[in-house]
Amino acid sequence: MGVKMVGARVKRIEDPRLLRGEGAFVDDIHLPGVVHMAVLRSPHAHARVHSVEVAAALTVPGVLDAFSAADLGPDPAAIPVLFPAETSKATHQYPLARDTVRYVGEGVAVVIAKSRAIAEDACELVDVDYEVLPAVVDAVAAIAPGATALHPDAPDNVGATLVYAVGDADAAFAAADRVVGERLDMQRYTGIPLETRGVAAQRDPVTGEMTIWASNQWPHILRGIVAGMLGLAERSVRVITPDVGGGFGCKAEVYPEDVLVPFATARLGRPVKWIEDRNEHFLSLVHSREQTHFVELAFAADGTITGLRAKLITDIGAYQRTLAVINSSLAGSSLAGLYDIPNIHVDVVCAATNKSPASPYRGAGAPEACFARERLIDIAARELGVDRAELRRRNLVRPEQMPFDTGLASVEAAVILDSGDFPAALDQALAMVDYPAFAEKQEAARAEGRLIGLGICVYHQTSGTGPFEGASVRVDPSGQVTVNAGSAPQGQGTGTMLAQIVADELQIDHETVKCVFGDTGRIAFGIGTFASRNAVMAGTSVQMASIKVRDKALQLAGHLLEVDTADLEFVDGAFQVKGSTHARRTLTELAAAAAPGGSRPPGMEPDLESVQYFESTAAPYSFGIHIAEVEVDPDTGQTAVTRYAVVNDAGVIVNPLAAEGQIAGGVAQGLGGALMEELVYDADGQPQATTFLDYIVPGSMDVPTLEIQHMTSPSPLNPLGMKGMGEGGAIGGHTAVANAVADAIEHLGVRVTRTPLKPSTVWELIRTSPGW
Amino acid sequence: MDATRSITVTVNDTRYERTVSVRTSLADFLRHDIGLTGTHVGCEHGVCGACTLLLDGEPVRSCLMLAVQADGHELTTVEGLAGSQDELHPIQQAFWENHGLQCGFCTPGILMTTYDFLRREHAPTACAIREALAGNICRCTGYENIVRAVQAADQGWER
Amino acid sequence: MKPAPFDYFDPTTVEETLGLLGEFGDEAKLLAGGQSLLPMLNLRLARPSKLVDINGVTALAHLGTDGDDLLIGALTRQRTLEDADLPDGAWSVLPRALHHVGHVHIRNRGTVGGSIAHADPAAELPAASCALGARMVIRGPSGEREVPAEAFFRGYFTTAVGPDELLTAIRVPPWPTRSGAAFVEVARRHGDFAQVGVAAAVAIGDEGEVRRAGIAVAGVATEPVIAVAVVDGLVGQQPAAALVEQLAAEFAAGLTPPADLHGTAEYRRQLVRHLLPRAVDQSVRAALT
Repeated sequence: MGVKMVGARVKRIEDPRLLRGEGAFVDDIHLPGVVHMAVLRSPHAHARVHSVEVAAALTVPGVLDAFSAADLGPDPAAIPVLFPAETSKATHQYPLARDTVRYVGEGVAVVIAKSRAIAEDACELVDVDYEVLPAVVDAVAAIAPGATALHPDAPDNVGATLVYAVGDADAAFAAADRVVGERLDMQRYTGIPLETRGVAAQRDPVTGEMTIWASNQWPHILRGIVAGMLGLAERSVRVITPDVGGGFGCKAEVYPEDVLVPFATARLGRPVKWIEDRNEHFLSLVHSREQTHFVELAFAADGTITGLRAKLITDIGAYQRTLAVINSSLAGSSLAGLYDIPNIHVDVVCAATNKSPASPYRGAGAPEACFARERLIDIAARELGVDRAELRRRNLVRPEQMPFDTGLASVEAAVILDSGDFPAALDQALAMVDYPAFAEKQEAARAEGRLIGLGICVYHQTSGTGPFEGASVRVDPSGQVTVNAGSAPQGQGTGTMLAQIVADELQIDHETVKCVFGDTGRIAFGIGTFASRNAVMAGTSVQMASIKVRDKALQLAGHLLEVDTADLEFVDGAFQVKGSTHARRTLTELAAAAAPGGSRPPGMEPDLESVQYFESTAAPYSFGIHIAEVEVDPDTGQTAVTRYAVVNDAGVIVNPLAAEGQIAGGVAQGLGGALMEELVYDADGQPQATTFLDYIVPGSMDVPTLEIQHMTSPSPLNPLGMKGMGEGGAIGGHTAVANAVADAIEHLGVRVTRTPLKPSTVWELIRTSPGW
Repeated sequence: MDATRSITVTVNDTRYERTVSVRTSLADFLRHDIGLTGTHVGCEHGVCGACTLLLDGEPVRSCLMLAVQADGHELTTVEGLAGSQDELHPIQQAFWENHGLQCGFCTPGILMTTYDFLRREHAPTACAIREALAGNICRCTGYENIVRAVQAADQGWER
Repeated sequence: MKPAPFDYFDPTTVEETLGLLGEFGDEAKLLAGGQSLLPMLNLRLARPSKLVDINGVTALAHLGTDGDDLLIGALTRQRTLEDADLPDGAWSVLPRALHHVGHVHIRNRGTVGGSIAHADPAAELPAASCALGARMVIRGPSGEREVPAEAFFRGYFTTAVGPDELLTAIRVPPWPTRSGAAFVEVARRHGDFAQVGVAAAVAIGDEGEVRRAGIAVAGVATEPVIAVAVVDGLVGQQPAAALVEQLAAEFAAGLTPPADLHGTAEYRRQLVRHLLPRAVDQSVRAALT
């Protein structure tokens, strides 16, 4: 037991059953007698709903039920907003549309039938009387005077506003030597996990409890909200998160179907299942990222940034649901990134439009903020005639300034950069790609008519979102160690990660630790797996619980061996009298001894178990430097990413294999955002990308192999020194690749101000450039 | 009412006789009528590859076949790869050792594609592997560990 | 995404199939490989009340020569044609085109006849068949007829095959011995539908001049566009790069390609300007080796 498990690159305990096809995703769960739900969705982006008639649907053989909003009760509950801003308006979504539909895909009626096919047949017979209204599809136009009002409570289509200010930005700009500003736009895109959403519910015949299985990232939160909305006591609702085929933050939401399925189950008295199809998925999964940035930087003569001003307009879509302002808040409060900018003023407006509601997706505001800032820094470097790496280096917060309090706070946490050496990280990344040699390489390529570019992205991400997480560790009388945690992973390898932590504390083989997640019936309180919080929050909880278990075992060992605990040492998973191998009790023996009826010290409760909650609202910030090299084909506009280097600082990493997997997966998604992914809407609010034929995600030939180096500056905010890092790839990937494409073509006299940089878009930029 | 047919299908060397609705896809039939849920449904329009299995030894999209079309044919799904409950196929072992999966949803389709590819190709380059996998989408891994896993499987699988 | 209800028929002969088509007319849809039809059924973009599955009509699954012609039964799997040991002349445009069609999974089920009868404007095989001057063999209640490729593709997913007829084979005439072919394409990702694809077949004469050429473009109209003016400008000439580029540019300028979320109309013209010379160049090299 000498090998330390935290930090070890071990293969995952999760894998064998997944490899065998024995994963249990929500659609794999067999519920005898289950019937199937289909949702009739609005074909219009904006319309009054005058009536919904389900009678014809009920006549289809095999249909068991059909209902609309009228059947949800006289005063149905809306989906709540968990982090409202003071300025948040009431633009809530109800589980089914009431008098108005506000996005293509909004649910209008539900049909339950013996098969999904029959339910879809019957949906076509539901008669809805729509009065089509003008659609609002541009966020900037939405908040301008004269736009069609989408909500009675927000007639100006402003769902919320946020202000982030420190110092005196106006004074800094007035005194600036140079000001560089630009409008920068990030497109609408989202996570598109390979498993769509799904919900199944069944009433337990013995306990009367409603069990809900949902492909989601936060079972306890889901349970609390759904129970509340249905008027059920929390103890009568159990939510289980089974295997989840990717979430990326998009399954951390309370969706209408999360409420409709248990509602239908209770109404019908039969188990009901709804599996989102891919077409629905593009319409109803949370959208994200779409934001317009009017941003400017004030520079002193030596290139020091003295001020940052910005107006951000977030296209939040038709409704505000649970995490409505998070993207906007995180973008606005962290717009300055890792740079020391003393004067900041950022206004954020959350604009309502007739598109699917927006919410966090991997990065949650940081990709947008990064793009705006890092793109503008490159633009400024060109205008100021300063090297773009040097401009960054001059302005990064220095190690002697750490911890660095930006003076700002998002709705989640204060933005205090807790640990890290940012200039060193930048230099390390630049060295990885031999940055000084690139300019010459680029000139030589241009002489041959080839367009190559290099893009840098300096990013950071909040992690370890509070307020708490919980874990229980139990050694049962047979010596088996089981962990229950509030986590609800979707492929992160949480089971292995927590087992590694437990293994270090209890000196056991990590492969014997069984982790059970995502079940409100197994741990009283939990938050879930999103916002890069798993390692910090669940990891610390499980460490706390393991330590408590070990301490309890120590006390019990002292009691049983009749020695002072100070005379005991913990070796190879057993307590023994120091220097003696005879007077010894293994954890298994101690667990058996802890059973009720055994001999324990006075006041000690039975069972070798502890449930611990790590309560914290201080967010560690992991960060990184991403550098991408690309080649742009001037004839076709196609971009190949030829090299990709990462310096990543996530403090102490429990499993580097898993961490690097997170980086690689995140970079692929970021690359997708830079070059190909977009949820396009036409002028009538009709979504144009509703299948994989039109929403292009990176395939195996589109993504390079990464070069990754780690820096380790342990976070002071948790005992293991961990910083969550799962979102960094998606944040850095988008901007590093976009900046690289810009570097490849901006010498022609064009400016890259929006993504995605599809081949057609890049070619049009090149061919209309003055320099081509 | 749904028209039905009786079909006989051999899956992983086991014969099944069932009556199915003619509009049931092969993927749905395997998952819900037979109970082999290892084959996953990701798009139902033939792009993502999660539903890939072998039909008479050749990889196909089971979401783009009707169950009735499999009548009289032999299928191999991910559940048929490993020799027994106690072992993993060398390809599965290689994926395990190289962190070739995260959420596991795309994995069965990727394993079946890999199985077919490595049967035909030996010592493939990383480039050839990426091309062979271009019809399988993964959103979690960014593909590079999958490529490493296939390279390791090529080494470790005696075929 | 489940299909709307249909009655299912699986005939085993051409006669049976024609009988069903005659009986059902517009209500029926033929199912061959299913790689194009099943997505449409699943999305309910196609809702035939009768589905006629012809995978059992084994008489249509043949591939071989018939005299000097290549005769491809309509039910030939795309994979079979891709892997067939075809001589490396003009006919090789078919396996070259197939390399771009989806992935092996698609080609294991997709059929040659199915792709051609489906006539997706961005599909590869229709363009390749036009470049070769192939003839489509159609059987109907009044017997068998042949329609040349250039008259076969009539518009958006529309061909010369009537509602009571069946495409039974594709006949590819011989090309002169010194011929070669190429298929080049730009797609969003490998295996996706072509944004623009160019099929070219070229026969070179004794002086190195173009003796015969066939060039057809996918993705720029509602059906494959045969580059007649380019062919006319090349026949009898040396295939010099400057000439080909000029002809390609003139040809592209005359096109009105669609614009969509993948690219502008002008971008598609650019892809024609870029790809057509490459296709011709690769064909010529293949012809000379």
